[in-house]
Amino acid sequence: MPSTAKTIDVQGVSCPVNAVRVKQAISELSADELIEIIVDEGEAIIMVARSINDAGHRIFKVERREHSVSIIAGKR
Amino acid sequence: MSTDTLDLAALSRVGMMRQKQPDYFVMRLKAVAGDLTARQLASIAEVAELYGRGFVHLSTRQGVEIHYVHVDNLEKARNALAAAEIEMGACGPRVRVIVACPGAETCRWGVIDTKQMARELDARYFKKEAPSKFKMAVTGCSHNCTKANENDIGVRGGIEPLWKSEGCVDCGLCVTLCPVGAIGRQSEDNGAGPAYRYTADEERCINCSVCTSLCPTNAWSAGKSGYTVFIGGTMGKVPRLASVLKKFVATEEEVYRLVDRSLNYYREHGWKKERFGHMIDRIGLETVKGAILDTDAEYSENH
Repeated sequence: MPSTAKTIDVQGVSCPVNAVRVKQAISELSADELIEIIVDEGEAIIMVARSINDAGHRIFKVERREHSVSIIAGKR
Repeated sequence: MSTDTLDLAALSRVGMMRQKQPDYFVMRLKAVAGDLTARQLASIAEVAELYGRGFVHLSTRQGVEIHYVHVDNLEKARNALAAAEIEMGACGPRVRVIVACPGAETCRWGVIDTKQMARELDARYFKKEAPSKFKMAVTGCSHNCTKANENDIGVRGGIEPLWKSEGCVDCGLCVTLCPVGAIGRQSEDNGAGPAYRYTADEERCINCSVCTSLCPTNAWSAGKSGYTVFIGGTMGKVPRLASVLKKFVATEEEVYRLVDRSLNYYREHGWKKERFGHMIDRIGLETVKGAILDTDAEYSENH
């Protein structure tokens, strides 16, 4: 897996702005870059995951943290 | 006509309730699954202007009520509504108007045709007598927007999630997303094939389709869809959330069979004015479930 060069933290950012920012950040990656997304639990993770899927980008790893979720994602 | 000579119970059967203001009534209209056509709404508006006070009240169960109809105008108002194919609702100890969310027709989460089922429940049970009021709701998925478990009988659509190793990239999104923590990842070391598998605990799973609709690679997919049937929910003075009668009912017919049996049992065992859920608590959930689900041989023999 390529290295995770970038991070975007959208905790506390309300839906759907969190998803829009994440989608924008992923689209700015180069083909072999990955990004770590930190997002709130609950509705926020559902919204962000759906948006990544709908845009055709890829989710590599998802891990629950104490009050947040880390998603490693890359460009389609 | 004065209020004294009216049969109030008969009026309540057809959705007309006396207001605290002498000689004035509330007309409760029937909107199965909360649906009315624009034309019906226009007719309701007209009747409210003519015979009410020009406003309607939206009830908590998707109903429309016209308030302040004078007793002398009830018949005229009712005829005007009937001309627009608007039926009256119900009050009193009987099956009330069936409520439902929009369901699979328009909602991305909906897995069952809630409106169709609401109309079928309406055709079969509306206004059927019971020991107390009897409310039914149909909700299209586990988001439970129609609050199935606040009803005497609630039906909730659901799917059985299926996992296959093909396509799975082991990202773990499903484990994180599952709202009830039903999905687990098991490592396997059998020398061949995938070294892990994901499973959904059947008991904990609420059949909601969050995993199947958000899995990035469709390793989780929706298997067969079905219905969770709840019994004994009520709000009011002594609230009680419904109990699961059967977690996964495969066919619509089976749902109606369970509703039939629930209503029959309630009619036989419920005390006057006692809500279904409170009857269940008095008799015991397992006893009632056994009788309704037909697992109680002695009860089945006699029915």
